[in-house]
Amino acid sequence: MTLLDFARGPALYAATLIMVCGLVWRLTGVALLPFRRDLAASGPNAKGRVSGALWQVVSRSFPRRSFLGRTMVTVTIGYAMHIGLAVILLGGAPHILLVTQATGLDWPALPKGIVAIASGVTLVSLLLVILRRLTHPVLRLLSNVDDYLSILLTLIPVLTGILLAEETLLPYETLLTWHILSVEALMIWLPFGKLAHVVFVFAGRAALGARQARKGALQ
Amino acid sequence: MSQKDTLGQELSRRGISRRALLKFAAAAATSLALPPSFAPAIAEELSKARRQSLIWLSFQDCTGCLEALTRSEAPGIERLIFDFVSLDYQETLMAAAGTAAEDVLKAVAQENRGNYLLAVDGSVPVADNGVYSMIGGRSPMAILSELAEGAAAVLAIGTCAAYGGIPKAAPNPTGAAGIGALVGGKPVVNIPGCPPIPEVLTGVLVNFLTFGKLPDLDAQGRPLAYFGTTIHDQCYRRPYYDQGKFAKSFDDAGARQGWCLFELGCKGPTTHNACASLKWNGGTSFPIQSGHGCLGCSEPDFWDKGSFYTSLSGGEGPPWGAVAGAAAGGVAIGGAAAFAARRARASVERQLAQEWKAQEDEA
Amino acid sequence: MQSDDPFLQALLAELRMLLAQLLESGESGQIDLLRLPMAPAQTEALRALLGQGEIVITLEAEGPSRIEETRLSGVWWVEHHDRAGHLVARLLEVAAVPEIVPAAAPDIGASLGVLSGEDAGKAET
Repeated sequence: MTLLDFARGPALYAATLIMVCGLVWRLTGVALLPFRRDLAASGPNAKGRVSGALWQVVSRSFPRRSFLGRTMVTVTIGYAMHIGLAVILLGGAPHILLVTQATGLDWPALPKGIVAIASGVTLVSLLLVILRRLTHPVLRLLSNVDDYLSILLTLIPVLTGILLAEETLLPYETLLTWHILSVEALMIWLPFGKLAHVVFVFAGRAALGARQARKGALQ
Repeated sequence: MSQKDTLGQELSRRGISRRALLKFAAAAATSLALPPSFAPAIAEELSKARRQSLIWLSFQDCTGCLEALTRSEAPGIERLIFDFVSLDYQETLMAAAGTAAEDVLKAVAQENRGNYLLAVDGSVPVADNGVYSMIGGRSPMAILSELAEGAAAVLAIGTCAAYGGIPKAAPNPTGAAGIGALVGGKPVVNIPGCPPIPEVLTGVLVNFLTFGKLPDLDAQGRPLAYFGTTIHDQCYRRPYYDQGKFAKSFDDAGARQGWCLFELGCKGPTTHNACASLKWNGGTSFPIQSGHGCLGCSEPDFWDKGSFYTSLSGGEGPPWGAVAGAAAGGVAIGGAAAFAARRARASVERQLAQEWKAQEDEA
Repeated sequence: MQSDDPFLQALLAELRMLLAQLLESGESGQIDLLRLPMAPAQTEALRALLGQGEIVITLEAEGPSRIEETRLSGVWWVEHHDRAGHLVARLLEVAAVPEIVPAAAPDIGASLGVLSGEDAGKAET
């Protein structure tokens, strides 16, 4: 069995199972945590819990104007990276093919050029993210292994993916092998580190939104 | 022909002209991926060369390799190579049989010891002392090691000889192995393919006769001139791949327009061979040109690499039962963790309640 | 001479380079068309683009060969076939006369031997 066969076979299988198990574990664990009953009477500006939850999910996606000066860089880089990743994952023909062959779902791919631009933007953004984390005085103190590992594990698949799509530097087979293996490393780490925000980000906002809405703290 | 005559003398005696040799050299340069300006030098060296003895052994093979190398409607120019080599032993082609054939083999191997080329097609069964393919009461391994020892070099012809091929496919009941894995201490050239491209054998022989050595090899022991690039890199459908135009089935509009066959399982990107440029049957066509994806037949273990019709980027998909199981496992672990957290909190609250009660009692 | 196909443009550029080299140093050059990843339609387009010159030479040596001058003087379209009629080499040769055409000294010597009543084989050795 070559390394490529391993990457496409048992490794992909194991990584998928670990990711699914891990994500469900984390979500269930948090969902079943004991909540303290909210005994206070609802505030004067109280709104419905559901609308509050939805409102928070959407509104937190936009930066606050009052903090814009300080958060502009983070917001811009963050959006560039996340949109880039979405374009690559949902628009790249090989990725769609993977989903199609696993599930039967199919949708049209974006042209290779657009995916290439998105990949470039994502890669540069991720490099800037690392650079900022290493140089920003406060961020540097706040960062731990989890942060760097999570960024790195996102960056490597993007890098190997770009080399693979352009077919440069190394033979196609080698690049394909390392691209798949690096994605599998990402999948395995995903539920356990800060990358778990893929499921927690909206769940957390919704929970907070619902509570704040009842208290009337939501504007 | 006397082995002392040069090929030039022999050819002119047979009325094969200098121009015919130049033509052959031009074809050989094309096939060896040498610059065409090398052709006169190749012709020159070939006419000075001596006839080369070649012993050909067949083990676990289907004879498809030999068919591909010898079948052609009329003797073509590449057949000139058979004037350059003396095929001294080949069980399928030779008239002699039984002990007479064994005697020929012994005599030839003795006479040309250290100088003959040993060509092998088919894999060697090593399980159970090779009982699966005995020849004249001897195991393939015994015959191979004896003849390889006296050879100048060994040519593993076809994927079975090179890497074990189909006989080695799981579960490999005969313990089949490729020549390279079994022969030590001798240069081995792999000419894989199912079957291999005839021009590649010709090219390797021309290379040996003109330059006196075997061609440069890649990591898998294959001549770089033919196996240096992937089918994908030489494919005339490559522009469609770059434009993202893929045939989705073998009879859709894309397939009819000759679009890329990647999504239909073409193994061109991971397969090294010269099919896309040399093509088959005198440059007529090759699998992709005829509308079918590459199977990857010149790569080790191509038979065991999953479906021929699953694309390289896709897998078979995860087993959904196992995924559901993993999710259930997640629920269980998460539930247990939450349960533990609740119990911890409950015990803290009980303790707090006791302390408050104690304080109240004191007051 | 122009083409919309970038592949053919590159080939034409190489031809231009080889022609300049032939003019300057007298050194001939060849392009191997069989080893290039060309679709059959591209080969036809190139053939049409280069056009037909004044000279067509046929050669019968272990199968037919056809050597055609193109519209560009000094650029020859060379196709070698084997006895079965299969194409074994397709070259663009940039030379005053393709290398395979002129008679070679040993062969001329052999001819001389024939006319002098000697054995042709002796003249060659």
